[in-house]
Amino acid sequence: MTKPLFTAVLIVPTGIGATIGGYAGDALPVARAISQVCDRLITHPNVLNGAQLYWSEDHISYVEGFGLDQFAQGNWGLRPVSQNRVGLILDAGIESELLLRHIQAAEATKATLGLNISDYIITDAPLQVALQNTSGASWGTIGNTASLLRAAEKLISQAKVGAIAVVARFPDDPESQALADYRHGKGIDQLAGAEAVISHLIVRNFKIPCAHAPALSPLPVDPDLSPRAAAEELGYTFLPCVLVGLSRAPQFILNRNKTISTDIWSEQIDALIIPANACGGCAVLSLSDSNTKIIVVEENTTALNVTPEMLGIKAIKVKSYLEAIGYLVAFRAGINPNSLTQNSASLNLLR
Amino acid sequence: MGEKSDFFNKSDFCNCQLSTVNCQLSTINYQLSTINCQLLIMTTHFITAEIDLTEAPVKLPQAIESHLQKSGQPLRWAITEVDQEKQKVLVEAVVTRD
Repeated sequence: MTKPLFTAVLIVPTGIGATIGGYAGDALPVARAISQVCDRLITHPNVLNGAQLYWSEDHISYVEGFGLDQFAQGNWGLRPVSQNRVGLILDAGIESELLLRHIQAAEATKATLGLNISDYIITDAPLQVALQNTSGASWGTIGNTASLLRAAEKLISQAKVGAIAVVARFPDDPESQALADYRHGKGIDQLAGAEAVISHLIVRNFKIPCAHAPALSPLPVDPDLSPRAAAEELGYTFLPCVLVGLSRAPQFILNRNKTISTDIWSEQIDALIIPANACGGCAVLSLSDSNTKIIVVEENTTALNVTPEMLGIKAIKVKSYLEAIGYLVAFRAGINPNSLTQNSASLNLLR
Repeated sequence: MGEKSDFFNKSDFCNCQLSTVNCQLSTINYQLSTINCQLLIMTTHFITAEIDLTEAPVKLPQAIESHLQKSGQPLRWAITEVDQEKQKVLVEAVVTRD
């Protein structure tokens, strides 16, 4: 009899100032550690993207946020692939030298990593990204949505790509306190919300993997740069990690009748790990009434205060990701975690 | 009476021709509007909404998306605050409109 594959989902919501994972791919060590105690780990670009830095494993799936929500709701399945043909959309609002840097970054991943990057397209008009921030989260909107969607449609129909990387020009604000805070490992990533909107638009409309890298002017060197933010200041672009992630991002399966044995569906998720005060997202709510064990991590504080108790979600509360990993090991081994403590209770008589 | 009848017939004939032309113009307008739709003129909008906290959290996504659909097609949303006293949640979202 074949043992079922132990599958976990790791979420660190983007743009809410998570102390672990709210910066430059600084939740990647968490993903790498958790992946060692799972047969499959499903997570999203915010966790795995470290600009010039990344780590690719066969059993870690790079799933964009909109797609992850659809997967958690049971609407879409995930089909692992060996390699995607990746297309690149570049915002017409990117100035020429920075545009060239991005094209060269993509070419570098082809030559040095062997990625299948097929074509790039420049949007027919600047995308006009606008940022918006509330007290607890970063958001954003796109001024020229149609231009983005036309570019994607052309890449899919003419270049036959199976995944799309988008690079949009984001506004520079080098003197802002928010940016200074971010570079020093505090506060909220002001770009994250708008980045999510861009990739969500592509995934919702075309149902293929997508991820985004912002185009920004280089910043002056800062001696107080936080290690958590440092990965984003190593080069001219944030693109390499996105291309690596998309190159093996699972395809979305919309029709259960056409599923094959290697596809993954939401009922196969054994555990979901999420920060303890950021439980208001679609994925965690959708899985709250399933067999998935929801593990919330207290140490990973965010700017929000939305706990499982407030929403009536039954969850296992742990202090740290190290403790979460202990729970995952027990679950995977089929061991009741209480039997690993001195609090192992007697059997209960049901009257 | 016959002359009057002739007049009415000619008038009716002209009106009939005019209505035929109008029909053709309507057809052209319809075709143009179809092409415009196909150009996907879509806008994104940030909105907030206050939703009743449901008994079962698994029902919240549907309740939230139904509410957001009054403002557009939901693209991204999250519960960012919970008012336990009023049993309501504050949702921040981006919706699209065609």
